[in-house]
Amino acid sequence: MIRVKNVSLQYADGPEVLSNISFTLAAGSFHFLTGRCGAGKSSLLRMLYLGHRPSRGHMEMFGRDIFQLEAFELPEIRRRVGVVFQDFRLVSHLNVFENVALPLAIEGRPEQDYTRNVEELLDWVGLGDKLHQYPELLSGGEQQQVAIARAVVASPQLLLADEPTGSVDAEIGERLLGLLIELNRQGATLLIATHDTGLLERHRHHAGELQLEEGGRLRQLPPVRAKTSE
Amino acid sequence: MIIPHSRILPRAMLGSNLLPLVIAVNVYLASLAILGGLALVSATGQWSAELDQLVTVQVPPEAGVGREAVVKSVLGVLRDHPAVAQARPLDAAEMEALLRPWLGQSAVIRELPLPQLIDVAMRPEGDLDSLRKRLEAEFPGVEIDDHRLWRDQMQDISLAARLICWSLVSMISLAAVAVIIFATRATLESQNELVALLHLIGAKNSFVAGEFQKHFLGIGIIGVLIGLVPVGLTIASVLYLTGNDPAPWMGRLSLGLFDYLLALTPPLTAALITMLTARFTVLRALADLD
Repeated sequence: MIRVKNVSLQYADGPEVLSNISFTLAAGSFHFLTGRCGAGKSSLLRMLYLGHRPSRGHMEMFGRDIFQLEAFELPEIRRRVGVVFQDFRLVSHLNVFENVALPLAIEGRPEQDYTRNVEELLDWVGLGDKLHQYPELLSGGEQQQVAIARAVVASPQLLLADEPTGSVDAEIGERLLGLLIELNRQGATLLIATHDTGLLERHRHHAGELQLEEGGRLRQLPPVRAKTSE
Repeated sequence: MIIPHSRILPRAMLGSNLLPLVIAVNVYLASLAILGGLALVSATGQWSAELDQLVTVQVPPEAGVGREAVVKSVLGVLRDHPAVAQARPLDAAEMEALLRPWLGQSAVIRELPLPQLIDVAMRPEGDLDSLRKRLEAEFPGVEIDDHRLWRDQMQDISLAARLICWSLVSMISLAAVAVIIFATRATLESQNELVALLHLIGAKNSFVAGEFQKHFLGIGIIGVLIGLVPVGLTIASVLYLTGNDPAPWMGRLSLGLFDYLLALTPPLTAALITMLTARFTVLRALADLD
């Protein structure tokens, strides 16, 4: 589904943030993206949600060569990717319902077409009673839930989450991660960027790992099978 | 009337800036320029049309004691000529009235050696040259004034009025477009995080531009509605002044229904110009994102 081969990424004339990296994300797979702060995790995610095109290499998403895409074709590919941004990026003048419905509204669909779906989704993430509240009145965990709901509302094929548990306590973090894993079970390919080693240890038996190293290089590791007790 | 608004841009911005007021002022000024220009063109057109059919024959005072007979003969020739519809000598009171603006109520006027003026109304296709030749041949010293100088001046004034009117409308429109581009860019700048988010979640540029377009159409309509108030008051004032005992010069400033409709062009197009300017400004800015 996602094939990245010998890809490098640089901003303007700066040094390469990602250097000659290769990995594959199979459809429905679950991976963590790890690495120290500044290793390029956010840049790799940005490359995958087409916020910045790679400078060289080969990158294929959903069967399309990214380097061959015309500008007018990019929105269609972006709509297949759901993103939970590290800073949530909720729109302050839109309420919870409107924030979550944004990916559907941009398709030009009338509101009555998706009202029920959005309400059910918000019920599912536990915000069914806060449809008309504005983000600034929500707690950090609730804002994160809204961000997750917005990322999944249009049923994306690829779900990217940048430090989704970074700004919430452990209990809420586990609940949010549970939401993402549930979506992965329903078929979405999941890639979570994190530096939370505890989280990684708890889930690495069913999640692969993309490990960013010094110099912008990357190693892809498969899930670690749990040892059977003798 | 429902003002269109974007579902995504902050609604509070709609009335919180001065753009509707700027559009209202532009709408009023453009309508005023068109009304003024049309009134001048109409007045000069009427004067010119009246002068087209009129000539003045002057029998000089040198004709002396026999002038009465000369005037009578000239009138005879004029009334028999196929190019002339009507010929009428001006009496002493009319001559005095003509000179009064310059000489006042002075008795001197009656003692001045004035030429006898004859107002001649020509037929629409009347041949002025043949009339002129005949009068010059039979009555040396008699002059025919076809008001060509005045007519040429009227045409020049009419052309100048048109040019000034359209220059004003063009300048006002250009100023409005510049202000709208500036306002659109400012709004785009203030909403750059939202625009970037929409871009990243897969919004097409046409969708984002459409939202800005709706937003600015709303602002345009508010501006037009505000601007229509002084436009309506001005039209009503002109109608009142020209309809109730108008001054002689005001009587010439007659405007038809089409003229008033033309004066309403700026309000009708202002909202459209606002909307399209915003759309193209945003599309141009978004083109750089990819």
